[in-house]
Amino acid sequence: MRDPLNTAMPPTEAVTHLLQPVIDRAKREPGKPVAAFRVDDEFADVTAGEFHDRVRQLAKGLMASGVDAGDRVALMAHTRFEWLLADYAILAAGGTTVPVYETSSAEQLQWIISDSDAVLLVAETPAMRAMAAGVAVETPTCREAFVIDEGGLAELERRGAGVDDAQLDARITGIGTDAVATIVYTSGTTGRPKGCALTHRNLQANVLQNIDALREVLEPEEVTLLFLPLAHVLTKIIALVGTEWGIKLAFASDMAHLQEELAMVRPTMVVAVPRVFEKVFNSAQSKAHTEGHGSIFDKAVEVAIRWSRDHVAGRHRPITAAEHAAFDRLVYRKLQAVFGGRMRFAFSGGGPLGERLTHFFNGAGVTVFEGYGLTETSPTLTLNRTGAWKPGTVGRPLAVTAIRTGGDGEILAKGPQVFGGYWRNEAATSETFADDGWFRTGDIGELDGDGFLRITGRKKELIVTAAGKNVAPEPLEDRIRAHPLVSQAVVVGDARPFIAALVTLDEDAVREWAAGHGRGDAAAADLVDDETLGAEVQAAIDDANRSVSRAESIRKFALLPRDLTIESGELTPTLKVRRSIVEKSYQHVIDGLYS
Amino acid sequence: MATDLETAESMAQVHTLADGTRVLVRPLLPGDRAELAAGYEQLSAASRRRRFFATPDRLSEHVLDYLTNLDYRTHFAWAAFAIDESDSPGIAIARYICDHQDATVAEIAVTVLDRYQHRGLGTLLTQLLADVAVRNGVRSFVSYVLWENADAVARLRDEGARISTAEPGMARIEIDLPTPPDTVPDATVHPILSAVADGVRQLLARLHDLER
Repeated sequence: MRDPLNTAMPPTEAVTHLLQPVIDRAKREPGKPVAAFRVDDEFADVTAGEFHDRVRQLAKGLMASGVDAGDRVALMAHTRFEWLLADYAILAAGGTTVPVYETSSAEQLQWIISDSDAVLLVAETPAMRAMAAGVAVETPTCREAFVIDEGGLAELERRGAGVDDAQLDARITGIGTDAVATIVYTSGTTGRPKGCALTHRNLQANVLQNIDALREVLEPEEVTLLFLPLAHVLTKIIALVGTEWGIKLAFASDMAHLQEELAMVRPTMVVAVPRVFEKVFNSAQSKAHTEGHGSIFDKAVEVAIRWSRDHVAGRHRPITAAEHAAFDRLVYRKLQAVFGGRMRFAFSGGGPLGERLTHFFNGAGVTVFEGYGLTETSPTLTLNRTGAWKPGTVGRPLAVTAIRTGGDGEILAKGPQVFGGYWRNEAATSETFADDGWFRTGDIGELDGDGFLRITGRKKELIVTAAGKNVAPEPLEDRIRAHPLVSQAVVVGDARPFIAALVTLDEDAVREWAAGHGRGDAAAADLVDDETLGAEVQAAIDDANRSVSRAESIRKFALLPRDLTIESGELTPTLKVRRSIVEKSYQHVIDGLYS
Repeated sequence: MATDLETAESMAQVHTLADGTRVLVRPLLPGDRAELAAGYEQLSAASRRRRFFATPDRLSEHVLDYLTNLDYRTHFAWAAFAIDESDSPGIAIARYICDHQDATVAEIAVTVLDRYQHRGLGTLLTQLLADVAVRNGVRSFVSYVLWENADAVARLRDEGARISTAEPGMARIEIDLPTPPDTVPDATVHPILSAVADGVRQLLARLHDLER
């Protein structure tokens, strides 16, 4: 058997703290554009020198506002230039960034601020500050909030004017590589979100590992457009790789302008979740069909997939090659144009990307490198790459990363990117490591003969949406089930664009409700389309949604005509819900929710 | 097997746990319904979750009907009572329910009130349950547990239980029960079967560790 330990070495001895690449580039190439953001109708560049200066000013402002080395600072904003700036400034002040999704609920924000003991909050909007103010009673450590949209960063920079360069330099030299750089909160299957404490070493090692894997494709001048949340470590690592390599990081204004801004920035690479690739494919397909070119498009898809499969297998079939060339101008270039026309490759992570879709994009000229990892692993553990690219797998382990599978098929990992533990949660930490120090991913998979990892299942009761959001179904289901009319709730959404729920009604309660609402002796089966009843259940859904962010919330639900039964296998004899069997029984209902 | 109240009561037995607690163990009776409902409400969220993989506030009437209408053959349950306390409160239930397609396979569920956990009661009840099940023709016990208990699941596998992934978050554990001794007349085989039975007992004890 092949030794799963990949020992190709990147220069991991060069691991420093995350500020070092920012400092080095400002010294070496101060005029190089490192970031860009939209101002009116164009993207304005920020040079390495300017970026470094602003990070320093802001860091001084944080110090003047009482941020000590080791303090946590919460950062709640969508992906924008100021996010990156604030993040590096927090690190320069010796602090730890605690990102909060801009869509998080008040309950989540409260928990994250109080569990991390954040001393300051940098928030994007006044509404976010208000959300935090509403919970300030229970988060006494959080002294102040700065609102980006109200000039909060400028205020910080003003405050920093009185701080000496030497004081800041001392903070920066004092950053230990084992200091916690960020605490990223993730949902577990039960209970409150847990804080994954990632050190400078974890993240910087992963930066070097990713670069090692990409060395063959990375060119000196790369441009990327960031549009997914930087609060997600997948986007964050690409930003960090960009800083290390010198990739210009352009920030999309919002998802609504993505199409327009892809054309403006013309990125050479992007990172995305499967949902984005699906969306691009689906919109291209429906556009072709509504314009009457449906059959050409469908044929082009088949040819692209065939061409890509042949290509990977090292086969060359003249007919396929000719067809492929014919569709290139007609279809594939139009698809490339969607991404701006310069894109050579993309990364996909956060969930499984279909094998056909991967081949289609490759055949159409956009190679997607699918990888695998978790927040706990900084995140990349494995990555497909040039010369080692196998669609349907998540690639080979990165350098100095060991992957093996346990007796039950669970994927176990070791490497410098694997975190040390959850923030102030020893019980959760010890559960997540096997006795011999292997990190338990909770995913089930297998390494093939060539060392590629294939993910086949999951041990954790978690749903991963096509947008890469991990959602624990159980807390949501518990809150729905608390409604007197509800008997069972099954939350669905794995590899789907959003979360939905199947709900069954309590027969007795529904009979009473029907009698009291002029529905006579109607039973649950007669009432699944009743709007008034639907509104009652919607209230239960709304209550569940209050505990989570928008991305985790239940967008749609369906009432089932009967309760779950043991005869159908939906419940075990002792009444445990068999989620997968419920999903199979009601596949048509679920498909309807997503159509 | 017991199909009426009298027989059920004739099976009653008193056991002393390792810490000296005395418990009366007898088959669950329809009259235990109210106590079952009340007992559920005393369970911690963690215990509810292990039992139902969910934490409803209370058990519905349908569920209570189902859990108290036993035929004592394909659906059997032991109930345990703390007889040294006033009113002898019910403190644990261990039940098996046969698969409706294959009555030789039964799913088990053991629930002990939180404050009586870690005293060996669950293990005791699981073993008593196995004795009844074997005599009723059950050949293997199945239990669904949360994968979160990874270490305990691993130990069970090492000791011969069959483990599979039922679905995300849920492991299916299957343990073969010993063949009933009275169906094997050959005296020389008996000691071997006893040894096997002892091994199964250990497995059952482990299984209970997992459910606790």
